[in-house]
Amino acid sequence: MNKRLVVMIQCAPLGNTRFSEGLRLAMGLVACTDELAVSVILKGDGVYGALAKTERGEVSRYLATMAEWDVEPLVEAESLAERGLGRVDLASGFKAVSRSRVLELLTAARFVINF
Amino acid sequence: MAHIGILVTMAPCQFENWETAVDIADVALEKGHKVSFFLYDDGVLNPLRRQSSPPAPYSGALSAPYPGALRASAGIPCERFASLLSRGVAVLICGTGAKMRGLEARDFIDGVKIGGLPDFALLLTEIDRLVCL
Repeated sequence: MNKRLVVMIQCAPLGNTRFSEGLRLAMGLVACTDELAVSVILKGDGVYGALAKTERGEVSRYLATMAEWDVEPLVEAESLAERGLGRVDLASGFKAVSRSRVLELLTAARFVINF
Repeated sequence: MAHIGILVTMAPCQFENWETAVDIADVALEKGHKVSFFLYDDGVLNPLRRQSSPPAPYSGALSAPYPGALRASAGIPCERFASLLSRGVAVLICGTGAKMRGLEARDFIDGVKIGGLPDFALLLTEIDRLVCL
């Protein structure tokens, strides 16, 4: 059975709960079961949550838990570029990937949950 | 027969997502499929026991008489969810999300279960398709 699940977050980390609740859900699924292989993709305004200068507050705890389970959130490089940002702006623990790689992950996933 | 999971993360009074979700569930049941809900984030606000009127009309709905027209919502969310429950649909609520909003079990209609992400993780291993609203 395909166990791949993608949580894709396209909302900025400030001003609403979509970013933090998306990561909370991803963290919960990572920690709750080994029946699923969870990937987190930050796309669109979601990339702002991966910047080194962004204050992540409680979300840092979710990211730390995912790191313990070797889940490294992916950041779409094109979304960064469209916002005048690049790999150099990312905090440690985030990995930039191309839009074509994001497409590959989405098409290979059994489930995609969008925030 | 397929098992369809529906994740609802949006509140009922501002967005039409809940109505799309229960409409899909209705049709799926008619076709003999099994349906399970997980209500997360503001989605936990959908099956509140004390709802007494439908949400304000939604604008620009595809099924409105013309683009931009107002269309009344199809019922009261808690009543639609109660109907689904009576037909065997499972409705699971994120307990953390409920607690964040000051909600307890008694605030929800009969039949919903308060659970958590471990329950959703289990559900994901059982369903054939997932619809996210």
